[in-house]
Amino acid sequence: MKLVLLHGRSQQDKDATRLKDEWVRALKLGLEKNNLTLDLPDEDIIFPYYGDLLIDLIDNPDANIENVIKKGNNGIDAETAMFISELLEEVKQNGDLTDEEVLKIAELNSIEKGPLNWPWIQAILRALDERNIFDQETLWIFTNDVFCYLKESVIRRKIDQFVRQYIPENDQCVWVGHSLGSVISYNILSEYTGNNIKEIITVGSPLGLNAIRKNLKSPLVMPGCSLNGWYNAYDRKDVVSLFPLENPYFTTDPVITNNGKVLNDTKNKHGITGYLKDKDVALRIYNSLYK
Amino acid sequence: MSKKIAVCIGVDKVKGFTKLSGASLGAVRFSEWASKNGYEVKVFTDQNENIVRSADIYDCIEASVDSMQCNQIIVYFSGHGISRGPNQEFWLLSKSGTNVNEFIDLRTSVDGASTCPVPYVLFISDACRSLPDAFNQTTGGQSIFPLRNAVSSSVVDIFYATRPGAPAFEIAGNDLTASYGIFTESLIDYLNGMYLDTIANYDNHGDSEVKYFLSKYYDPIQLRLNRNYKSLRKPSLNWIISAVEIQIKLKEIVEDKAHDKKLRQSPEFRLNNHLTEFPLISFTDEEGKDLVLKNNGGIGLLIPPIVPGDKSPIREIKDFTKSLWPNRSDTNLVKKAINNKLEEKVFVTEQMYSDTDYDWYTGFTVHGEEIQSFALMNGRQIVPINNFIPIGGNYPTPTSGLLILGNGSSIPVPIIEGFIGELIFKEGYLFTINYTPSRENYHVYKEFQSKKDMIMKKRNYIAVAANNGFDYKEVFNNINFESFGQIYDDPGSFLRIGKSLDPSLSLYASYAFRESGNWKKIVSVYDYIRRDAIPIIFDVAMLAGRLSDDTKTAAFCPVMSAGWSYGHLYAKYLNDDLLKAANYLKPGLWTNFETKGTDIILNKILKRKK
Repeated sequence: MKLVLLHGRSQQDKDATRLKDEWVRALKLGLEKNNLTLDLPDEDIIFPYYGDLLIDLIDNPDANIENVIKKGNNGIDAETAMFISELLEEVKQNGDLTDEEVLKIAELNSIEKGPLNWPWIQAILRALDERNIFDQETLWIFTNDVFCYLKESVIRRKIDQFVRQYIPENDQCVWVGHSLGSVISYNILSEYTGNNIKEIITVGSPLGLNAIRKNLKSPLVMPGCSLNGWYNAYDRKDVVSLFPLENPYFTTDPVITNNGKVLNDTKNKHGITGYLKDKDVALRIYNSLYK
Repeated sequence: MSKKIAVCIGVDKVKGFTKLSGASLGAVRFSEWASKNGYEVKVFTDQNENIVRSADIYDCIEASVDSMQCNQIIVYFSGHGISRGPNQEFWLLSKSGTNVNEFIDLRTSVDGASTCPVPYVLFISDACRSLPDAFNQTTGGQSIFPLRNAVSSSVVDIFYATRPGAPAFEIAGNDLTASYGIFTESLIDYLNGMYLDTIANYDNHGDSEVKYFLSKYYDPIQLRLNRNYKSLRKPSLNWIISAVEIQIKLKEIVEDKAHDKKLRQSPEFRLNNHLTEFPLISFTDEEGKDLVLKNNGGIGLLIPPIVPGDKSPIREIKDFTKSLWPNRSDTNLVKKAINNKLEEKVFVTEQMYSDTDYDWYTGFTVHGEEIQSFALMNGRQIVPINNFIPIGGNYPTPTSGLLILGNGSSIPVPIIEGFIGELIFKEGYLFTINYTPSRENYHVYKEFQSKKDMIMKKRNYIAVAANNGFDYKEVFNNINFESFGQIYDDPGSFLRIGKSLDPSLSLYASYAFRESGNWKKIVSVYDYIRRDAIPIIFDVAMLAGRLSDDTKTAAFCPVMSAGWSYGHLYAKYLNDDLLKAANYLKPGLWTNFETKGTDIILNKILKRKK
């Protein structure tokens, strides 16, 4: 039995080994809450680390929040701006931020009636940050990564190809995906024709966001490779994943099992450790591995 | 959970048009077939005094697309339709007689559909494609599909009940409730499995895919003796009818039915490449056997094959003997001849273009039409000398002009410095445009000479496509490029090479890419032309979405009539007077302003100098 852990946004100060350790440590903490231990040799825990590849593939990895704030939409094409605008607007609504609050925090006196209102996008980022809902740099990087992965077919193909090689075709496995990793997991597993995935488990998944969902292949499906379906856990305060993966946000047949009771203790309610430390999430992974 | 959706629209009554009786019935009948066969059905008809509005249809389709549950959408329309030119087809809804916002623009709807994340979309148009009268001319209509820019775009096919420029007919039954459209009637029969020789099964044997037809797979006599004497290889396999199978013989069936009524109606099918099949209907193996037994193993209807005429397609083009539109509506024999002979003929050295070297640096030569004058954007008018229009004496060289014909109508023309444009007319219609580098444009001229054969092949291809209403794909599919040692993915990829030697190729390539929904490649064409520092033809910049207040284009508006469908791309950048002039466009392949439109442009835009 293998356990595949697919990360979301890579963190600049962590390499693959450290990141994997962090995941495993958090999972062990979650299991301890159930008086359980993770009895898997390290080589059976597969951690496809695509973070460096993604950064290499993105033309402008420095397109970070500073550039956006300082330079506005110079050099950012309409398609990018449109996607970012739509995604952040959803995140804003999820964070219960009203337009009036955004205007006030950003000290904007007027709104341009144009299709790509860049100051408004910047204002949302600032407002989410100031309200401690999501720090603007992380949210920007997440948005940029998701955009590049979903809209640049070369990047998507290469990332999918890279991760696909880690599917343990001769063993059963439990597949866990977090954040962008859950989007990649969906794309790969919905096309994988094997039948050795014991269960798909996603945490902090943004698949329910309209901006992301509509950039997937239609119709949405329950990946046929999974023997025991799909379990999705989220924190209701995690602004990028607070929608359950069910009708109308992400309709599949058979339906996905959703758990919205996670209390993620990371600052933005989205961090992976906050999910894996959760008692129920850890137990689900354990049961899927051993039962 | 995947859904198949059928949006069925039928409009009998449009102010100013003959009242139909069978359009709404056609939509209802099609919806009944669809519902019976697993489609989720949405019906929009004007029965019971209902008003069919484009916004309602749009909302319905947008919701279906955004549900991310559809793997197939069929949009069926029965009612009045008009065609202003190739790829400018409009469906008329209840209020179209008085409200231009109630036309459905089929072309932009197809373009929208191709951006949506629905694997397969089929438009079925049981409507006339006749030319509009002046009152009902429109340069735009509504799209009923949203723009989505999906990663995996749709395959979009179109079934037209009739050829461009021609009417579709409904036949009155014993009473009004029995009226029906010939096309719809035939299509439903077809989809119910009446024609066994067009019901297919796709199976895999090792690495190869094998296609069987139901009529040949089962022997009806043996089947009657022992129903289980043979079966499909696996129970999961089905018999299907997809657009590819429909194309096999629906055309002949409709032609035949129309002929019986002393009418002429010939459907047209525009099919994209199908890497996988999208069944419109599936039959289990047992149902397939039932169909064989029911139809006695024979073919539902015996249709005599139409014998291709012994005509050379190239000569057809060269002779220009028939006017374009009548020719289009009556092209079955010619088209079959083209299909048979195109491959061997299209690349022959015989060609229809002049082969003259020009010493003048920039200008035009016109064939087949009397020219009155040529107006530049600064209002100056040039009088042609033996149908040659020299452009000179201005710095910088203007990039746009208006060719004024003897009958007072006019054509916007891109001026490309260093090139001589050649405009070829056929029976009063502009047929094709090409550009040849002037001898004075030395380096380009030399390169052109070395690659002349390649450019001529493309021009011949364009001429055949023009004769076919600029249906690039249909012509492209009939050429075996491999036999010439060349392989191209699509017509646009074939056409785009050489665009710096003949900039008109950028125009044709862009429209060909548009036809296949390949918008990113249009942007690539635009970028290359821009790098070559050649003026960019208005349509290329427009289709690439690169029009802006600062973009300098050759020609001041779309030069192909199909370009007028893209109001959302150009409207912001054309002044009001030009948009007014666009109300006076003549139907045809290329933009051609009637006298009234010409006057507006000359007086209001070019500020004619007396």
